[in-house]
Amino acid sequence: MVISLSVDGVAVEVRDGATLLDAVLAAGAHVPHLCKDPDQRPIGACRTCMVEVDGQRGLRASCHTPAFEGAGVRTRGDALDRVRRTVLELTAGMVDGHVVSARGGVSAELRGALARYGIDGARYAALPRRHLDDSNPFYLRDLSACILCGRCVTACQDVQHIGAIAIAGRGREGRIAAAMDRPISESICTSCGQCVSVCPTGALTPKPAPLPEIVREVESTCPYCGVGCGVRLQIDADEHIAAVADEPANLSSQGMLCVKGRFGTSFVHHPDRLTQPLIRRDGELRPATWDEALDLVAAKVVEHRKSFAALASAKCTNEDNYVFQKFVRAVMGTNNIDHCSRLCHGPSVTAMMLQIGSGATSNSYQDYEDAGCLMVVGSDTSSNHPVIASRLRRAIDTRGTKLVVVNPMRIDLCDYTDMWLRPHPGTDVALFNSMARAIVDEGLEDGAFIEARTDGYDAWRASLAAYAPEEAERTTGVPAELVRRAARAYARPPFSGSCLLWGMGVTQHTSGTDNAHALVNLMLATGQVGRRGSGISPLRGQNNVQGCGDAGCLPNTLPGMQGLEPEVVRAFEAAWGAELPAAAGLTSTEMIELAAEGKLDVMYIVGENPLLGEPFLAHAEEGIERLKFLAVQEIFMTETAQRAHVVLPSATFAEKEGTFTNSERRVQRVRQAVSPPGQARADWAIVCEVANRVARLLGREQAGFSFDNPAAIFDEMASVWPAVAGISHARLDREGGIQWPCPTADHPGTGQLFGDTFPSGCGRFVAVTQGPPAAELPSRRFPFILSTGRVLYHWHGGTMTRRVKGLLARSPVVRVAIHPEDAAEQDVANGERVVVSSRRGELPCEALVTEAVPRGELFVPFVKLAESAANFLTNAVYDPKSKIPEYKVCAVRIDKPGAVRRGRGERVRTPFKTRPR
Amino acid sequence: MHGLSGTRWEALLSEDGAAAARGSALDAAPRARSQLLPRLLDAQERDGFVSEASLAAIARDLHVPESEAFGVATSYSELRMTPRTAPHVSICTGLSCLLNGARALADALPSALPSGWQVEEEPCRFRCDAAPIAMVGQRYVSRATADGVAAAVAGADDGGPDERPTAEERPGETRRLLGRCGRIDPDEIDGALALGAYDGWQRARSLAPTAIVAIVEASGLRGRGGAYFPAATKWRGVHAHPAPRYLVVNAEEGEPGVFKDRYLIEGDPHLVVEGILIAARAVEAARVYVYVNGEARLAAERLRVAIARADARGLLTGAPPIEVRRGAGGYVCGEESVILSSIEGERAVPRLRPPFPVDAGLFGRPTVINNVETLCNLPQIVIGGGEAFRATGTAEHPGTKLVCLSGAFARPGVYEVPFGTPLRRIVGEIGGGAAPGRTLRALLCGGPSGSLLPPSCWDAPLVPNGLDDAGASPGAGGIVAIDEMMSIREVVRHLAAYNAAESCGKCTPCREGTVRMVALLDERPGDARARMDDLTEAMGAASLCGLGQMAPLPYLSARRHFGNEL
Repeated sequence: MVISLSVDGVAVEVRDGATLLDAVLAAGAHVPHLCKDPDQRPIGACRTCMVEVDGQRGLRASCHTPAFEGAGVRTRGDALDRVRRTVLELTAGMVDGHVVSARGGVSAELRGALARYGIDGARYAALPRRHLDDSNPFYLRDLSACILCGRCVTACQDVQHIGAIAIAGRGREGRIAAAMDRPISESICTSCGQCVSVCPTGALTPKPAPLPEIVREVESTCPYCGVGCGVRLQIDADEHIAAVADEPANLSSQGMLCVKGRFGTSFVHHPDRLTQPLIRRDGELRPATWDEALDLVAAKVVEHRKSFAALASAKCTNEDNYVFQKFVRAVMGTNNIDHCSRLCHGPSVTAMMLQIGSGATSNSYQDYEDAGCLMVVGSDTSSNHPVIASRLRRAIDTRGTKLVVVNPMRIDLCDYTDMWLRPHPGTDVALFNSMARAIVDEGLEDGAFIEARTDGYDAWRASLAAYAPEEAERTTGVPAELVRRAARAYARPPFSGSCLLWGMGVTQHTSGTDNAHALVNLMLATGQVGRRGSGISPLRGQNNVQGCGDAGCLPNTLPGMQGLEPEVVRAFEAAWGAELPAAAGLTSTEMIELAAEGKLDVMYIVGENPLLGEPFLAHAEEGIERLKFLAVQEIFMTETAQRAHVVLPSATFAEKEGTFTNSERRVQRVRQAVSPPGQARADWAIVCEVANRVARLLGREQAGFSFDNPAAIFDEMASVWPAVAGISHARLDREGGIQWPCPTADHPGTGQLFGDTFPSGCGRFVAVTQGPPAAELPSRRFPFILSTGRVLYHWHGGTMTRRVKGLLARSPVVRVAIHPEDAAEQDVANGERVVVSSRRGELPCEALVTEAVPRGELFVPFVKLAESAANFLTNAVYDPKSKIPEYKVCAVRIDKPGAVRRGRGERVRTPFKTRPR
Repeated sequence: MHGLSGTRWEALLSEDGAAAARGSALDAAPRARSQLLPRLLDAQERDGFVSEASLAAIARDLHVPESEAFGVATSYSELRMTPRTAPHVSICTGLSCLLNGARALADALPSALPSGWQVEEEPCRFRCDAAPIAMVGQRYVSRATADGVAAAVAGADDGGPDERPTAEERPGETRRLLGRCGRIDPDEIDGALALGAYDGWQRARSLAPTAIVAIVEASGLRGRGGAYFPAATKWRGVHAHPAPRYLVVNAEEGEPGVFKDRYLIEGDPHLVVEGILIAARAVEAARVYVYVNGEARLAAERLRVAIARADARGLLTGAPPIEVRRGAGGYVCGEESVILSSIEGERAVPRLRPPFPVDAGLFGRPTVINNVETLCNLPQIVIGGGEAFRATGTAEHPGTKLVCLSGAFARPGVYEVPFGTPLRRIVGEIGGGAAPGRTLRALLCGGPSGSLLPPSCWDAPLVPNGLDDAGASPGAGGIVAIDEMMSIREVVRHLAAYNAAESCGKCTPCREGTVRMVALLDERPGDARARMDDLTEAMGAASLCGLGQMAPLPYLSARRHFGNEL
């Protein structure tokens, strides 16, 4: 419905539900509206947006007065002008004019309003609240510029659902404060900066303050986790990214960002960036020309082409990855290509491919907010997918959505539920099977769905015989009644459907694939998929894990996750004009093992750092060092690059064009905002150069690597992968991100998969049984179980985040979480230096005494900080079905430095002592 | 960023609609968070203040971020975040107490108290008819003197009844609501029953809810909280929406110079309960919340007892649950939307309107908010019918009004008069004129945001907007008699400072304007007058709620009637 009204005599139309302010702005008139964030509900605090309405006495605050048919709105008038002026004068009297006038950007809103009405602050002597909080490394809180509009509080409470700040006090004592007026750094603030982005006065301002002047903005996609938030890179006159703004129009992030997205891009300009090709000469990496480096790589890979493997990067674009896998397959003639999803969601993909024929997230993020129940398994969503966590919290806070958390660790989301299931590590199969048993025992399964859409139900049901919740409780430690409550909530949510989200806690086990099977079985039994508010989501860790696999960087699938069936291979041979290998290639973990055995000669690694990401790093190091030739294409001199024979400097996300595909299958544009430093080049361009040189050496004429730009690469990918046939860079530029499948140019994209059928036809129940919890269990000498994971302020190994000053300031050292009672027994104090050791290595770190971990368990993030990295400890044993290492369980001990007791003859390898060769 | 169809805030609105269609588990039900203020009050009761540990524990239990719990706690004047370090006596320095020597008392006290004791000033203790008031622990000292307070501190005056004085009925009064006050034992029920308590409720039970609304509509009953909105119109408003609906009883009465609701509850709690029962039936409320001023301990307790007694007699059969909630200070808490926020566990600040409470009030549901005195009129209306009710008062304002006389009156207290009674009669016949040796100069009618009226206005009838040519109103019924003890200027400044201290701080014109008003009153002559004109206009026109909008009224009325004294 449309409402017609007039503003200062100008006729306008607004939608039903719009406010008078909407009408005023639609008419092109102006009123200040300092507390009204365009994207949020009105607050009604600043009272600067007053208008007159014909026939009504007095003035109306336009921001919260509904527009109505036939209204005659006036924005000027003698009384109105006087009132507005006085209110602005009172507002000016709240602040320190010098502080306000120093602020630019969004923060200039107050300054602009005062200037527009010619208010110089002379009428009321300023009485600013003097309070400066400099405790957060990313932003400054200077309350001498605060007008108590409350926008920051809305951002913190209602947008991000964090609740670090609130308005406290009464009257003139009113202030924006953390609990008990603590410094913001001692609050639960996650430094997401949502508050900073909406402050109209500059009381909240990014550091360093003041910001340089922004000369242009480039819309792009965040380079960190798999959520895929929209960013606007703000570029200053020096061609630097001066700041990052959120993008409210982005459908995946809806204007939200986390600390890494908003404040974590300075790595792009870090002096450590690689700026020229390097060739190892006389044992040292020395500068070389591009031609020298590319020729050497081409010559070496040709020389060892029978023993060649490649690692692609989930941080690179779809276009980079498509070109890379095409090179490996069509030119090198091997399927030996893999990427880091082996180390994260390999088991999920393996299980899902077998059971339903697809490894992708079935739903959209919006479904989390539409769901009646959310079950979050083995994922510390708040740390690793912060913006998805915000959406989960929003659903729970505003709609009473049920939450089930399954995690041995107490994660932030546990505060939002009374259904926290805390299984013993490695007992997931027993837990999920017992939940399934509870569902079928109580008749909560979806019989119609099972009948129409699945196979193997009866056999699976029979397999649950040994998993009555009371039985399983003895294995899992989770009370049977809690399992039943969770089962009821998931199978029969109070409204809408249920979404199942999981992370590495499920997959990084020797039973990882079985764990995933058990979860998918729950979905199949309850039919919680394919409808609004339901679905299954393996949450993707890296910005483009989804896209890297989609582009074909897996040893057993071609682009579009198309298998190696002969007819598929033939179609690609026709498309690429080359003979393609028929057999599946090596997984990344197999590559490292083979290398360690001396059975792999050459690796070409793009944007991956196995010497931080692989388990049992000392062993991985041996493998890498035995390679005859290693080419590494990187932005920084990583631990792996240090051991390369050739290092090729490449471009970051901000320096190239392309696309990323996020966790909800949304293909989004990445745009060049600045030039790469020195001679660094875009990954796709480097790979094309190598491919052409190799093809020449192999005597091929037409190599298929003469792309003008990434748009052309995408077009070729769309021609071989039907699910993105309707997507092109031009369309993404016009419409924003699109979720595949999108088969035609007029197709809107697909939010929900599997509504009618699974790609494999019927969904398959796969019966799984609980085995031993882990390959390595605690012993007298190694009495603790160690789990690894991530922290909010760092991203994975930390190659990028370690080079962002503020992130490092918030999280400077590796900390091992230990239960208070264990800490007391071990005589370890919070903050004390300790050494955690396993049979494979040692980790010097700092103790974090917290009840977040259960007794007997320790937790360490796998980020490398101050030369400490958890993967020196982890166990290189693998899930037989997906080859994922068991990062989540190994046996360790904790000691004070210098007191490490070693077994006789035991050789303990210390971190990163190896010299570059 | 805004646009016709692209306004994302609009999208948010339609999202809300869609969300409602998608379902929610939160519909209409009171949430855990609504226990926030009761829990904070319990903590303070236990520890004497809200400790950091209590705040954290309460926040965790109720799933409220600690910062928000802190924000809520610090929005109430009576919640302390730090422990007291010394024993203390508090002296009420409300206007009525100042007019009865509170300043001199406060000055004299320190030397009269044992060493180590502190003297604190409180804005109002709502016992204005026994001014000046001191408080030692939970004990009130009425008509306090330094010796009397010292005796209370020494414990000599321990254990006396915590009753407020009952005023004798005066000629010129028409007691319809006060009839049983002072004649029954408020902690028992038999005396009240013998004098007709619950007869109206028994009759109402036999009537359809719409029939009750019709009778009340015929009576012309208007709200007695100060706005005088027709009661039946509100009730019909909620009937336009589906259940569940809520009834909220405004017993906050946090306005200096007004103490009639306390008087009613303490003197005849059964009348209040009966009124609640009738209104709850009329609006078909799913639940009733009675929001009692945090300081009115006795009233809250008597109400709880009365509810229990009525329940024991089976009188609550068919009635919704009645929950007594206590406030925690703040003049603004009497604002009806603040009560809703407070019950829900939000900060004590007003809400934006629309939506109006009748459409979307407590927990987003249609809600009627009625003042205690309004409800106390219901039994006689249900029994006697609408026409009989109209026999008293004026055509536009039928019935009686409770007035609270304090200040320099000879006979301060709560009295009941028909609407239309001339002020002069209330002053003379009922209030007994000035106390011996004093000369009345003005009346402050309508509380701290009321109007100052000189004797020349006192022939005006007691009706809303009719007390002077500018439309001064009696508000909730507070009438403070002002004599030479304070100058008009001092009175205006005192009220301005009170309003500045009581501003909740949500909106700029009130939070900043009230403070600037005080400063401008202290500044003269210069251009203060012109700035005061602009300031009072802006506060009146742009403030979010009545507190800010009406804060300039004492000054403006003084300008009209006592211009040369400002």
